[in-house]
Amino acid sequence: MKKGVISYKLWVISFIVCVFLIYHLALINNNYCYAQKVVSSQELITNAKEYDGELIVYEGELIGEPLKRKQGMWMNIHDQRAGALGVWIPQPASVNIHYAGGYNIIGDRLRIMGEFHRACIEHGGDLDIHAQEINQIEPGRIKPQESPLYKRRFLTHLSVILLCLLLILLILGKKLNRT
Amino acid sequence: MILRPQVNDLKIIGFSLGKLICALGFIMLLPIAVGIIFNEANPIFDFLIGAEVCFILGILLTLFCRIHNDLSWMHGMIVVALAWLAAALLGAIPLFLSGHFASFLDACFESMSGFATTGLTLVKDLDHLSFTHNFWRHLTMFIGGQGIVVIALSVLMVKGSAGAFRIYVSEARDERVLPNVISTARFIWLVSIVYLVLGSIVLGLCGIFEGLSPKRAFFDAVCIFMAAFDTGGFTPHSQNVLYYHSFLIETVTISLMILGAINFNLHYHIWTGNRRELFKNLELRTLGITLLVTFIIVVVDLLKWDLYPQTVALFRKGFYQLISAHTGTGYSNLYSLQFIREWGNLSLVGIITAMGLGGSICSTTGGIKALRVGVIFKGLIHEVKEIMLPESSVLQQKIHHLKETVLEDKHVRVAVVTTLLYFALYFAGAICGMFFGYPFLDSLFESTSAAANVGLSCGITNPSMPGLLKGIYMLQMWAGRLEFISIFVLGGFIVAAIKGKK
Repeated sequence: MKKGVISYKLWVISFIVCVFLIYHLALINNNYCYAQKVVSSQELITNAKEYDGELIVYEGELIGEPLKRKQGMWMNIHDQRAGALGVWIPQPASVNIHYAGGYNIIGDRLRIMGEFHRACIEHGGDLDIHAQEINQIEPGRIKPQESPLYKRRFLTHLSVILLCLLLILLILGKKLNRT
Repeated sequence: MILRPQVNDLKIIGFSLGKLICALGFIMLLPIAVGIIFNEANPIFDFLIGAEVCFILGILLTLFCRIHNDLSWMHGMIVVALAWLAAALLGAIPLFLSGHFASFLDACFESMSGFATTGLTLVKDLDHLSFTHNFWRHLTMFIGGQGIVVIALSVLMVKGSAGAFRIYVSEARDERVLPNVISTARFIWLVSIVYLVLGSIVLGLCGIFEGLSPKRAFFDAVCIFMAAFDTGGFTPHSQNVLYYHSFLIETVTISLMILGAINFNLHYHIWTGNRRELFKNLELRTLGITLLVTFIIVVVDLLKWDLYPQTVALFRKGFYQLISAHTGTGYSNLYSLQFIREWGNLSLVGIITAMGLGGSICSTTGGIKALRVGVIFKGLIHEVKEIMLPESSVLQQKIHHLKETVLEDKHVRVAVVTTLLYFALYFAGAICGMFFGYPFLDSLFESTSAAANVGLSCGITNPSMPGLLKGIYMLQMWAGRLEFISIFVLGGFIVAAIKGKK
C-alpha cells in the first residue's frame, strides 16, 4: 500500500517536473526567437557575409503580388530601408495574406524568422531569406483615395487657356489661308 | 567671326520645337488609357494637366514662331537638343504630381533618365506608385529609345524633307535604313511595335508561369519589354528584376536587351533575309569580342572572391549584370550596395568598361558604341601594317558594316574624337562625384552609368544625393544620349547670340 502511494506520488511529481521543464524550454526557445533583434535590409545587404546562413528576424510590408511556385512561394518584404528582400516560403498554406502593398494599398506588415542567404544555392545566387516562421504584426488596408480637387481646378484653368489658344489658331489659320 | 542669330533662326527653331512639344502632349494622353483600365482617377488628372501644359506651350510656340522655312543643320541640332530638355521638363509634370518625388528636380531627373533610356531612378516608394505613372515611366523609355524626333517624324510629318533628315540625324542616328527618312522612322516604329507585341506576350506568359496574376503579368510584361528592348532599365518594382526571382524572366530579358543593342539597319537586313550579315558585320563582331573580354574579367574576379560557387549563380549574377551593362540597359538582379560591398575592384572595372563601351550605332544603347571601337581597332591594325610594309606599297584597309567600305582616315578620326569625348564625360562626372565625397571607383561607376545611359547604380543615386550632382548626371544623360554634337551646336548658338556680330 505504502509502496503504491510512493510510486503514485513519484509519478505525479515527475509529471509536474516534466511539464515545468517543457514549459520553460518552450519559453526559452520562444524568448530566443522574439528577443532576437530585428535586422534591417540595409544591415543585411551591407553585411551579407556576416549574416550568411544565420537565423534572423526581419520585419516589413508585403509589397507586390506573392509569386506562387510549385515548391513554395516568394514574397517580397520591404522595410523602407535599403530595399525589399525576397522571402522564400516552403509552405505557403501556413501564410494568411490579407493585402499585398501596391497603389493605394498598404500591405500586411509581417515578421519573418528565417535563414538568411547571401547567395542562395537553391535560388540561383539570390540574396534571400528562407522563412521558418511568419507572423502578421499589422494587417494591411486600402488607403482612401485622395480628392484631387486642386488638380481639377488647375485642369479647368488650363482647359480654358487651351480652348482660347485653339480658337486663335483656328482664326489665324483661316486668315493665313485667305492671304 | 561669329554672326548673331537672327529672329528668323529663332522662329524656325521655335516652330519645330512647338510641333515636337505638341507631339509629346499627344503621347502623354496614352497613360490615361491605363488609368481608366486600372480605375485610377487621381493619376488621370496628372496626365491631363501634363498634356494640356504641352499643348499650350506647343501652340504658343507655333503661333509666335510661325514660319515656313526648312531647317538647316544648325536649326535641326538645336531643335533636338532643346526638344530633349523640354521633354525632360514637361514629362516630369505628371511624375511630380504623383507625390512620389521629393522635388521637381527629382521628377526631372526621372524623366530625363527615362527619355535618355538610362534607368537611374529617384522615385520614392516605387512599390506604391500607380499603374498609370509606372506606365509613363516605361513609355518615356520606349519613346526616348526610338527617338522623340523619330516619333514626331512618323506621326506628324507626311513627306520627307531635308529638314526632317537633319533633325533625324541630330538625334544621334546617322544611318538611314530606307532611302526616305520618314520611311526609316516608320520602319523603326514598325520593328519596335512588332517586337513590343511579341515580347509582351512572351513576358506576360512567363509572368503567369512564375506566379503572377494575368493582369499584373501583362502590365509588367509591357513595361519590362519597353524598358528592356529600349535598353532603359526601369521596372515597376523597387527590386528591379530581382522581384520576380525568376531565371526564365531573366533569360527573356537578356534576349530583349541583346535585340535592343543591335543596329536597326542590321534588324532590317535580318528581316529581309540577309542573315550572313550577322557573321560578317564588324560592329556585331566587335560587340561579341568586347562582351567576351569583359565577361572573362568579371568571371575571373568573381571566382577569385568565391562569391558565387555555383555555375548557375555565376551566370545569373555575373553574366546578367554584364550583358545589362554592355547593352546599356541597367537591369539588375543584385542590390546596388552589393556591387560595392561584395564585388571586387576588377569585376567593377569590367562592368564599368562594358558600360562605357555600349552597344551598336543606330540602336537604343548609349556609350562609345561597338562600331567606333571596331573602326579604331582596324585603324590601329592598318597603322601597324603600314609601318611594317615597304614604303612603296599601298595598303587598303576594308571594313564590313552592312556593306564593304574602305577605311579612311576621317572614319578613324571621327571615331577617336567621339570616344575621347565620352572618356572626358565619364571622368568629368567621376571628378564631380569625388568632389561630393564619394570614392573614385563608386564615382566612376555612377558617372559612366549616367553618361552611357546604362542605369546600373552602386548606391550613389538616391533622393538624398546632392542636388548639384543630380543636375550633373542629368547633363551627362542628355549629352550621352545625343552624342555631343547637338549640344555643342546649342552652346555655340548661345555664345553667338551673346557675342556674335549683327
